[in-house]
Parts: sequence; C-alpha cells; structure tokens
Amino acid sequence: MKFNKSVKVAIAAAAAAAMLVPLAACGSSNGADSGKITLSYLSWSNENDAKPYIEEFEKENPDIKIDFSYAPPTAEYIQTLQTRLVGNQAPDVFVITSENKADLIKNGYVMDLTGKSYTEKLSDANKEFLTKDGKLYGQSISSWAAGIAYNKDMLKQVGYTEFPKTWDEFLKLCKKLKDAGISPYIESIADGNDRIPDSFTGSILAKKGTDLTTLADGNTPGANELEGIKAWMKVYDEGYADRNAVGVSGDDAKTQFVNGQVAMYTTGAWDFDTFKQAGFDWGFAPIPAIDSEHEAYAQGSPSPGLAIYSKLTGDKLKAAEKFLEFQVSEWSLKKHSESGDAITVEGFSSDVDEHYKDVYENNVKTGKYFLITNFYNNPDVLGSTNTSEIQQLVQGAITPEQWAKNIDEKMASAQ
Amino acid sequence: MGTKASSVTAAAPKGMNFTTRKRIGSAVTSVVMILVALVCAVPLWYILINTFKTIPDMSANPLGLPREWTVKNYVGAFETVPVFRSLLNTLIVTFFAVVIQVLVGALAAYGMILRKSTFTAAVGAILMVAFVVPSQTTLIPLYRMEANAHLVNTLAGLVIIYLGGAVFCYFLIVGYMRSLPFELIEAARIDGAGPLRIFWSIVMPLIRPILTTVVVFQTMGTWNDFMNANVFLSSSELRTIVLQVYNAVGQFSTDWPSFMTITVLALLPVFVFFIFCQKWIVSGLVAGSVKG
Amino acid sequence: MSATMQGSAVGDLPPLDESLYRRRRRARGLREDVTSFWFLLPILAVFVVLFLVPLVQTAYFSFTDFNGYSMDMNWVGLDNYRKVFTDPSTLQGLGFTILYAIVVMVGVTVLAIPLAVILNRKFVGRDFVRSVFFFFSVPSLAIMGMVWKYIFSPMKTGVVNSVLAAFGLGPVPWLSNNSLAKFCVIFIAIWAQIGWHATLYLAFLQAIPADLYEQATVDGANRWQQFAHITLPQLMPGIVTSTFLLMSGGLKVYDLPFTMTKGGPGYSTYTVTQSIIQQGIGQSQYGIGSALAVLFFIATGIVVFLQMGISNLISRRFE
Repeated sequence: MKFNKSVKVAIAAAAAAAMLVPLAACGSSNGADSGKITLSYLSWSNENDAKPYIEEFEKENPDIKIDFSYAPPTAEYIQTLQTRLVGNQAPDVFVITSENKADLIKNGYVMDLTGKSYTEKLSDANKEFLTKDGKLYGQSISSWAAGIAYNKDMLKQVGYTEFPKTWDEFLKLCKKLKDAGISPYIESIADGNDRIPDSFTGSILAKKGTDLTTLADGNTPGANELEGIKAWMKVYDEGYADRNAVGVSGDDAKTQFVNGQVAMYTTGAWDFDTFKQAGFDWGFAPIPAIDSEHEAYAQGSPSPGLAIYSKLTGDKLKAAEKFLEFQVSEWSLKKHSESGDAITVEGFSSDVDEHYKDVYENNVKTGKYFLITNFYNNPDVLGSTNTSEIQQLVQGAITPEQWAKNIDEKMASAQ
Repeated sequence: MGTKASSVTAAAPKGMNFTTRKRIGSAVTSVVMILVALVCAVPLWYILINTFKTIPDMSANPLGLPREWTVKNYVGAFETVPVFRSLLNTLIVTFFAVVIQVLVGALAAYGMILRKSTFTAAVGAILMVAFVVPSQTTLIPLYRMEANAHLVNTLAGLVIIYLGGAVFCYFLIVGYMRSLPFELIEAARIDGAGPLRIFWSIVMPLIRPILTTVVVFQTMGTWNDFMNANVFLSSSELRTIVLQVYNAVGQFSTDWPSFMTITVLALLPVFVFFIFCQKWIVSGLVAGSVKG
Repeated sequence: MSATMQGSAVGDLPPLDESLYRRRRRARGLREDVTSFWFLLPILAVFVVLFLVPLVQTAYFSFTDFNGYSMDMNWVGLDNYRKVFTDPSTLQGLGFTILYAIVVMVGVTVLAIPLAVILNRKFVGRDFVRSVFFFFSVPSLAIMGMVWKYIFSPMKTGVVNSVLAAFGLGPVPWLSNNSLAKFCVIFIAIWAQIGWHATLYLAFLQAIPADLYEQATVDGANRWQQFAHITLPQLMPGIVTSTFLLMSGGLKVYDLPFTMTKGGPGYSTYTVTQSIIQQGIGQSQYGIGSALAVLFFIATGIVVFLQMGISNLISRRFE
C-alpha cells in the first residue's frame, strides 16, 4: 500500500515537472540580457581555462554576451560540432582543425577570413594550415612541436651533456645507454604517437623543395614517408627501444620516464608540468636531424583555429569579428603565452618555459615542423590507418615497404 | 502445507551441530568473498587513492598510498567546477528519466502478460529491434528531430532521449513477470478488480525486486551518460556532472587526478543510492505471498 | 495454470447454452485486447519516436551520399552497399566482434550465476561485497581504460607483470601481443559486467518460491543438487534475459576495445561498430556508415533472434 502511494506521488510529480522543465529552459535562454548581443561559442578548452578570456572580452565589450559551451577534444568535439551544424544549431564561433577543416570548408560552414585585420599577423605556417584554394578560414595563433625529453642524470652517466644533433649520433647514445644497463628510449605506439618519422619527412620534403600544399594531389603519404620510417625503425631493429611499446599508452610511457625506468621519451610541452613537479633533472631537446645533410625538423602543427559561422550577418557578425580581434590583442596573446601556448603571431615573442626554448626558437618560430595528417585528403582515414599499420610495423609483422603500400592503398580506396 | 514446521523437525536431530556448521560456513563465505571482492576492486582502489595525490606522485607511485596526502584535487574541483549546480541538473534529469521509463516499461510488461495474442506477440518482437540499433548511428536523426521541436539544449529534451531506456526496462520486467505465479493476478481478477488496480496493488509490489534492480541500473546509466548529454546540452548552466568530469581532458594529455576526483564526487551520490536500494532487491516477497 | 482459471470462470457462469458462453468469452477477450493495448501504447510511442523514425532515416541515408555535414544529399541507390561488400577492410572487425560477443556472454553467465547465489546468502560483509561487485561497471570507460592499460602494461612495470616478477615469472607482453590483447579486452569486459548481471540474477532469485528449497531440504538434497535442480531451472527466465543483453551488447561493442587498444595492435581488437563509426563520422561518408549500420543491424537482429529462440526452447524443456 505504501509503495502504491509513493508511486502515485512520483507520477504526479513527473507529470508536473515534465511540463515545467521546458518552460524553465525557455525562460533561461531568452532571459535577462535582452539588450545584449549573444554570441555562441563552442570551445575546445574547458570553461575554467576559457573563463579569463571571456570575462575580459565581456568587460571590454559590455554590449556582447558570450554563450559558452564546451566539448572535450578531439573526437567528441568534432562529433558535437558536426551534429549541431547538421541540426541547424550552429555555434557562431567554433574550432576548425585538421580533422574537420575539409568538411567545414567543403560544406560552406566557415567564413572566408582572408585579409582581415585579425588574421594578418598570423605566421605563414598557421595561415597555410587553414587555407584552401587561396582563402583563409580560421585564426590559429599558436603552434606546438614535439621533442625528446631526456633524463639528464642518465645521459651524464654515459658521458653526455649535450643532446645529439643527428639520428646516427642519437643511436650511438642509445647504444651507450644500453651497454650501461639503462633502457634508452620509449614512445607510445598504442596511441599512435610515432613522432620521429614525421620530423624526418618534414626535413626530407624541405630539402627537396616540395610545396607541401601539393602533397594532397598525389595523396601518397606512405611513399612520401617511407624514407623517414626506415631511418626511424633502426631504433627498434637495433634493440634500443622495446617493441612492446605497441601496447604502451602515453600515460604509461610518461610514468616510465618520470620514474627513471627509461632515459628518453618523445613528447611535447604538455607533459612539462608532470616532469617539473616530479623533481628530477630533465631536459627537452629538438628531435635530431635524419642526417647531417638535412635540417632538424620537429613533429608539430599549428594549433586549432577559431572559425566564424558562414551565415552570420549584421550585429552578430560584428560581435564575432570583435571576438577574433580580441584573440590577437596584446592582453590575450600574453595570457595565452603565460598558460604555455607557443604563440606564432608576428611581432610577439612568447616567453616560453626555459625547457621549451630550444624547440620554440628552432622549430616552432621558424615553422620547421611537419605533421602527416595536416597535408593529405581524408586525415581521419590516414590517422586511424597509420596507427594500426605502425603498430604492425613495430611488432615486426610487416616491413616498411608493406607499411607504405598498405597506407597508400587505403588512401586510394577512401578517395 | 506447514513446510516451516517440517523443516524444523528435519533439522532438529542434528541440533547445535547444524547451526555451528552453518555459522562456520558463513564465516568462510565472508572471508573468501571479501578477499575476492578486494582483489577484483584494485582498479576502483586505483581511482580512489589517486584522488589524494599530485600528478607526479601518481606517476611515481600509482598504486601505493600517497607520499603526502593532499585534498588539493577536491578543493580544486569545488573551486573550478560548479559541482552543486551540475549535481542538481543531473538529479533532475535522472529522476524524471528513470521514473518515466520504469513506469512505461512496467506498464508495457504488464500489458504483455495480461493477454497472449498475435498483437502482443508482434509488439514483443518489434520492441526487440531496439536492442540491435547501434546508438551512434541514430544520433544525427535524433538531434535533428529535437532541434525541430526546440528541445535541444533543454533538460526536458535530454529526458526524452533517455526515455528510450523504457524498452530496456520493459524487457527486464517482462522476463521477471513471466517467472511469477500468475494465480495471484487471476485471483484478483476474479474478485472483480480492474486491470489498473491489479497493476498498482498486486503486480507492482510483487515485482519490487526487479523494479528496484531496474531503477538502480537506469539510475546508474542515466547519471553516468556522457555521449547524449555532451551532444544535446550546450549551455554551461545545464551541464550535468559527468560533463564536468571531462573538463580535465586536454588535446594531448589529461589531468588524471582531477578527472578521478570529479568522478568520485559524481559517483558518490549513486553509490549511496545503491547501498540504500539493495535491501529492496532482496526481499522474500514472492515466497511469502505464495505461501500465504 | 490457464486451465484452473478457465475452470473457475466457467464455474461462476449460470448454465447457459454453449454459444452464449462462447460469445461472452470472445467479448472478454476483445476487452482484454483493448486493455493490453492501452498498457502498451506508451512504449510503442517511445519506440516509434526514438527508434523507428531514426532507424528509417538511417536507412534512407544509406541510399544517399550524405556526408554527415550537409543535408543536401543525392540518391545513389545501392552504391554504398556495393562499396561495403567490395571493401575488405569494412568487415575487418567481424572476427573479433563475434569472438568477443560469445566469450563474454558465456564467461559472464558462468560466473554471475554462482556469484548471485552466494550474494543471496547471509554472511557478514555481504552488503559491502555486493556494492563493490556492482560498482565495477559504474566508473566511465575513459578512466577504467586508463587504469587497465597500466595494469596490463606489457612493460616490466605493469601491475600484473610486477606481481608475476615476484614469482620469478617473466614479463608477459599483454597489450602488445595480438592474442593477449584480445584476451585482455575480453577479460576486462567480463570483469566489468559480472556484478551487473549478478545483481540482475539476484532479483530473479527472489522469484523462486522458498518452499521449493524447504521441500528439497526435507528430501535430503544437498546444496549442489538444490542448485542444479531448483535454482538453475527456475532461473531460466533470468538467463534468457541476461544472455540476450550480453549478446546484443557484445555484437555492438565499441567503447571498451577502442579505449583500451584503439583496435590494435594492428587490427586484432578492431570491431564492426568501430568501422561504422570511423566511416560515418570520421571519414564523412555517412552514407557508407549508414549502409554498414543497416547491414549490421539486420545481421545482429538475426543472431539475437536465433539465440532468443534457442534459449526459449531450452527454458521450455525445463518447465
């Protein structure tokens, strides 16, 4: 009997609330700020990180209110944005990056930002990243580049105070470490983070003088990267890196490095906080050049950019442009730089972390970085296929030539 | 039948010996089961213990006790995440979604066993279709539907999406109802009770174990859902607690201690809820009423 | 059961002629049809709105070149289906998906039933044990994946390998070996679902009349005999429910293998749903993704209906 009654109460409550909830929701979205222009922004960094910028922007522009929403990168963000676009709920400002740029541009969702005051000073690499057929579609203000983090004490044990500049010297260092009973090197192949081949390929293509924007025409990333892959595989063939890296995640690899179980780990500035707090002596060096004939390149990429929804007009468009203008303001760039972004805007020099200086000066600012998925059609196919094929390669199940063939066949079938 | 009396007489000759043996048996069960549970719970321990560590401490010693206990992660969570607002949103969504879907499911299950006809058989088969639809493939159609009805970015819209769980509730409840003695329902019907009254006052109490189980399952599922909430809600003031968990995710690396801390905070209410509910799952109601 | 019901109904009737009796019975049948229709109406509404309509749309997309971004799409007939059948990589995940679904179903069932029986007994700490087992499945996969990757790390520092090292056994390449990676993913799936299904069985155990056990005790049946001859047959409806959920869920699996291994090493833990998602969302070939989804939907449907039929047959034999 008691149960019976509580069920009835529950139903009554449910019915009442089912009617109330939509009303409440409607109320809140139209409510208080009726005089203001509301600009919806789907961010890729979380509310806490984005808050200072939004507060400052709203302070400087009291007539604009930012309606902030957030989806975590990368897959969830891409899916959320896609669903909202196709459901006619497009945010006014959103993120454009390698995984979605082709689709956003092809389907006309993003506005042409060529020659605007807020894109003028962006570095060429950042512009190129979000340009299609001579038109610029996004505002990318920073870049990242990977390097090799190393345990200084361990390198000292085998007599090294300087990090090797070429791959052969690097392999020599590995041999010395191995002979001294230290595991030389680790990378996370489970997450598909083989960063070295990209850096080699970047320098090979630069030496050849290849125009990177033409890579998508042939669309054979396998053949183009083969030389870099072969050089990189020496670290496994000669036994300096454990083939079990195939099953090692980034967090696992980081843990090994921090705990002194391995001397070197390829990563980026995003792990610096952990290294610093762990309190051991570490350094961060640019990835060595493939040989002395080539320049040292990094694996790296411009950061995702901001795009304006193509159908915006009038006051909303003005507000969106003000928001992008604000992004390249001195205040904003300084703030970004302080929170660890390597800014690549002309006339602004990031005060980066001392560990990052070398990579920032040599690779980031000069644009000497390369990321395979940035330059070909169907970057998603390439990304996921590469992860699987690289794993088989490191396992020793296939040869570099088979790797290249498998990648290019998959790319051809996806066209 | 007086079964109780007969079992007492059967046990009587063994006397104390029987109860002692039973007690030892129960103690052995306790020890073994608690040990098994603890070993299996290592991953849960991992989550809990790392909420009291800093990032490097977690890297240096993932499974052990913290070198230095810190509540920084909890303080940080409460400072940066609107925990209470998000919990309230989650509570509203979960409450209405679960109550409605369990009710719809229970009604359907009852309608199903009330009468065996070609119609109910057809409905039963059709409903099974819902189990083989991969949810990712219907996301865009559902989103467009809700967008047209102006339901996206409202809690009510999210509740409606969750109502799909009613089919799941129906399936669990109908399986259970089939295992019940039908005589009770028949007896009530002959006494002249209407179908709705039979449903409220006889069927619902009889299926309390499965009802509680289903409520627990659906509460966990709804409370914990990330995919739908992430897509269907956009305003930050509507975000549910699980969405806040993902604040710790970055493009390249994730702040695991924060992630785990907010997870613990998000799951604490449902953990308490489960402990509270579990005594309702196990109750010898059927046995009692059949005997009576 | 139905015989007694008809018997008593007839008993209440005044002695009228056969045809009137039959007419009354038909009227009552019709009334009950209408009643049961009203009870079923809400769920039918839910089904139509949340499953049928989206499914029909997905089926429609499968005949178009819909890219997931723009609603301007062209009818392409059976092109997408042709592509699915000619591209070998789309069905790459089939083998592992089937292995996963079957092994997880058997594993969870075999372990969850005894667990439920034990959790139904009285012992000190029972509530704690129940809660712990149930909570395995609750934290999100994003976290559990990270934790398990550390536990099953192929390096010497992995949790399992450290334990093995203490016994002088040597590091096992858990996640970096194709077969072992499959094992790990399936092991974790079973671990995560036992408690949930044991809780389900626990509810079904409550429907077993207590006097059956009392009678069996009187007859001198031991615990094992009681389990084999009372518990198991009486649990059949629960087993049908649980295995159905495991099979339909197992064939659709995506999150767990993807979080653990991204489908790797190589393609060893690749699943069918992963290729649907990568085609549809990742590669903006929503049409092809939809075609794959429709085919998979039909295949899964056939498998689970067959399984349902078989388990119903088995359970009928027990009655």
